[in-house]
Amino acid sequence: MRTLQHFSGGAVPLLPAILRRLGRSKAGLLGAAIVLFWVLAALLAPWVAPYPPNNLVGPATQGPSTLFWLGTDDLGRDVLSRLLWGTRSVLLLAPTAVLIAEIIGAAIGLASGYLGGLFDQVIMRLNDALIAFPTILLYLLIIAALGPSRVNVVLAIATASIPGIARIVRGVVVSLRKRGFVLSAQMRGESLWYILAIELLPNVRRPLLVDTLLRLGYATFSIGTLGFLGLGAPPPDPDWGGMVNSGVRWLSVSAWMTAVPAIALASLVVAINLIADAFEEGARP
Amino acid sequence: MTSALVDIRALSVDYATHDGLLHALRGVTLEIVTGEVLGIVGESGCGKTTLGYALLGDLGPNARVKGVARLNERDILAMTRAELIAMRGRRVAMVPQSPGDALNPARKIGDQLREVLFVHSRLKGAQATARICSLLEKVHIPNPQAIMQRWPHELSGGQQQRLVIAMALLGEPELLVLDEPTTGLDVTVEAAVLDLLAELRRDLGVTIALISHNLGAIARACDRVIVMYAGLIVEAGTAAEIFARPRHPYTKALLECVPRIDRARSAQQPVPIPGNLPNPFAALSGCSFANRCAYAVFDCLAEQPALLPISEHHAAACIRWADIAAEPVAPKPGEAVQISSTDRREVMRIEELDVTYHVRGTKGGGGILKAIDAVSLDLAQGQVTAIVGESGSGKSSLASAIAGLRPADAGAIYLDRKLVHWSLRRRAGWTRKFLQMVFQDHTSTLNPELGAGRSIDRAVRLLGGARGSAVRARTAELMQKVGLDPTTAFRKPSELSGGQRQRIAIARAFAGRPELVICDEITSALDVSIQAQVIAFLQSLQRANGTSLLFITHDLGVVRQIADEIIVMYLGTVCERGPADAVFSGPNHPYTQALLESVASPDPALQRKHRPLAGPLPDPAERRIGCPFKTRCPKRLGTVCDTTGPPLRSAGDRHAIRCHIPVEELDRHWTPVAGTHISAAPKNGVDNISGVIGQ
Repeated sequence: MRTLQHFSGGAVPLLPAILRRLGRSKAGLLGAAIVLFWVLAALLAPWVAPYPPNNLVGPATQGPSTLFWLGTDDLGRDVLSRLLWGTRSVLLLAPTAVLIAEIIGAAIGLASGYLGGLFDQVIMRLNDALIAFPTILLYLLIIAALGPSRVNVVLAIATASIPGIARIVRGVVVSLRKRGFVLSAQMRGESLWYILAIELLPNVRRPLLVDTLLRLGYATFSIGTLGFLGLGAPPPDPDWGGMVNSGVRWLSVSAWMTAVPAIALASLVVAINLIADAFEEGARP
Repeated sequence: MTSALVDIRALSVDYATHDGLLHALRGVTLEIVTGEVLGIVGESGCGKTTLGYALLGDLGPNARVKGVARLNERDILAMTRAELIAMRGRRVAMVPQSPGDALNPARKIGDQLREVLFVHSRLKGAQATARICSLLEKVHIPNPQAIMQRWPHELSGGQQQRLVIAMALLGEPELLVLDEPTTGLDVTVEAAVLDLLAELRRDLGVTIALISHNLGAIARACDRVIVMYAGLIVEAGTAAEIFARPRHPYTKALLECVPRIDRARSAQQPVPIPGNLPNPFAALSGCSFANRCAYAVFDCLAEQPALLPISEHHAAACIRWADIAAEPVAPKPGEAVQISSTDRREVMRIEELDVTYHVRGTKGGGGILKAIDAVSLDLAQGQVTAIVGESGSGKSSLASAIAGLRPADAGAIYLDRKLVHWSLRRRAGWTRKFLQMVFQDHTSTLNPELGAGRSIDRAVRLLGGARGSAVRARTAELMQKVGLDPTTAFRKPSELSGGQRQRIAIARAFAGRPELVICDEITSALDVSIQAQVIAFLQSLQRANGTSLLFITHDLGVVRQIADEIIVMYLGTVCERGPADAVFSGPNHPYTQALLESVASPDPALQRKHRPLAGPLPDPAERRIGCPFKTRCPKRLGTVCDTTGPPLRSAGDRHAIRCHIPVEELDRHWTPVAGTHISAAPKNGVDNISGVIGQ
């Protein structure tokens, strides 16, 4: 039995309804299955990987065999083992970067949209300045300035994502700030914090959730790109983008070294986008 | 009997939805005779619009239809797609709700009209233009050639409505179906659109089906009326019969909900209809109205009564029609209201308040728009002051300025005799407790993502100073005071009706026992029965707490019902002010008079002659010299109106009119058309008219 205390509580729950509708989407379920597969691979890598990922375990540039299921790379390391271990870095870095970006972007968008005026003007022009940079150039600038490391990859991706998120949130907030429920909160003397966090934030959950998923796919892809450019995990640690890069030079000898990590990356990005599409359907009120 | 253009027999329409079969029409039998104006009236959700679309054979793929609908002896429901296309527009044309949505915003008006004409009659070029222009003239759109070059958003709501009507007439239909053509329009524009319908029927001989929840509009325009409830026709008859002698309790209850400007305030109280419409997904057991009916007896639960003729021009679906006939629609005496404002404490006063907007002109240059131009007013404790005027009169800007939501640009605002800042953010904390507001749009007054009771809860904490379990108790008490079950607080706002949401907004505003509540058009989007309910709860809270109300509305009937004082605004200025009885009995400012004459009374016997206002509201951004009303005034004197601002003249105790015409020469609005006055309820001994004139 619910008591009256309840309506002092939080917002109307959103996730259960979305998950229910996600369950009805076949494409969404397929995406979820692929993501689950990679999550399990990352978690179970120490037990299922046949060899240590950085050890030279056989002849170089071999195709698949019973000993090396996905072949070996240019130094004679097992591609399957490196692939499984490499999952960990992608699945850790992409969500971290996106989560940081969403939190900062949403806060900027809420404040900018609600307060308006000069504050909004200044913030949004800075935003535009950041958006004007080609994303890849922004990544390179930030990593060049801070030095290549996993932390700086996260920072670069987060920084490049913040302006877009702030813009989305600001747009929703601007359309809401003259509505009766916001005016009423102002008239009863609610604090700025209350209006932003309790009245407005729940109303940007839907666009934010969909944006998070779309951005997660993009961030995954970006991490692959940065790895390919040699800006990902420092060698010899396994990194999907780095594996593609080292394989490219041996394409004529063995395509496996390139194809395997590339396909893995593509499958993860497509799977996340499938979930995002299903969420977008489900998030409609 | 004359030939029936439309013959509908036992028509049922069910919609297959996610939640099951929705019964939109539950067996409707009806004839529309060539040349008549038939009014279709009822609350939202009664099946009016479905009936309208059935006449076009356009019910959507999920509709399950039973019964017969014939147009000129041909079954609409059995037509092929090609036959339907041939019929629509040329035999039956529909004017859909909200004309703004019916026009394509990305195409010029002329192109849209030409396209429709080409589809119907293959006319092109100069011939087409000539046809369109003559039709636009017929619907009184000035300068048709120029209008055709313009975009839909450049027209006013009234012009858009005329345009959509013209568009529907391009195919020369025999039957014109209008769905809520006056909803959302100002009274002056509404009156003009209704006049237009009468003219079209006379000149073009077109048969009209007018769907509306506005009983006044129906009474003014229609020959015959059908009253719908829960997908059924519960009463049918000539307009004179239905409005004077309703024989179904639903019709009677609806009529009692309508606030009347022709009755003194002491003679009317909002009388809401209790309960809700029956569940549209459930089958009916017994009479559909029984659970809300004051006349219901045990036999009413047996079956839905058939629509049976009770006289030559009247049919009703009620087993107790004879008993209902015995009680005519009579004003119920309300509580006597004491108005002795002289010694009461002043709650709010504004002096020379200005609100200006900087606007960018469409063709270069900018300007200053004075939304509020030196308005002064004061409000005593417990007093209800109504601010009336058309849209664009500045009444909502005035409300926002007093509330501090849109800070004023000049002038002074005193609350409780203390000068307060223009901006809400910079006002002292006590003002929030002192002054609260109820907003216009019920769809956005509650946060869609939070529980419905949440904002009352917060208001009780912040303004009522309650803590702990006292919050719950006070919230529950407030909800009960506006007639809501306290468990409603847990529901999502989207699960509540408009009336329920607006009642929560009222409870929230009264949470801190404010001295002054501003109500900005709070009932404009609600059905009459719901409106009566909302007004009744507002009034009971206001009286119990001795709160002052600043009630902003364009509905003069509601004003008559609740206001002590009236302020009439035009283009940001006050053109008349005074005690309600004085304003309703006159003499009046020419603008007030036009407003009063435009109101359609729900009594065909009391329709007044009205002089339509010339043209639309002038562009408020233009610089004004002289009287703001000069461009539309039917009594314009001459150059003095153009050059000199009119003086504020006294027309009696606290009644003042801003006009160059001396008060003695201004008319009283109450000029019934000679010969048409038939007293609605002579037996009751209450003469509606003497009630007003005697004030």
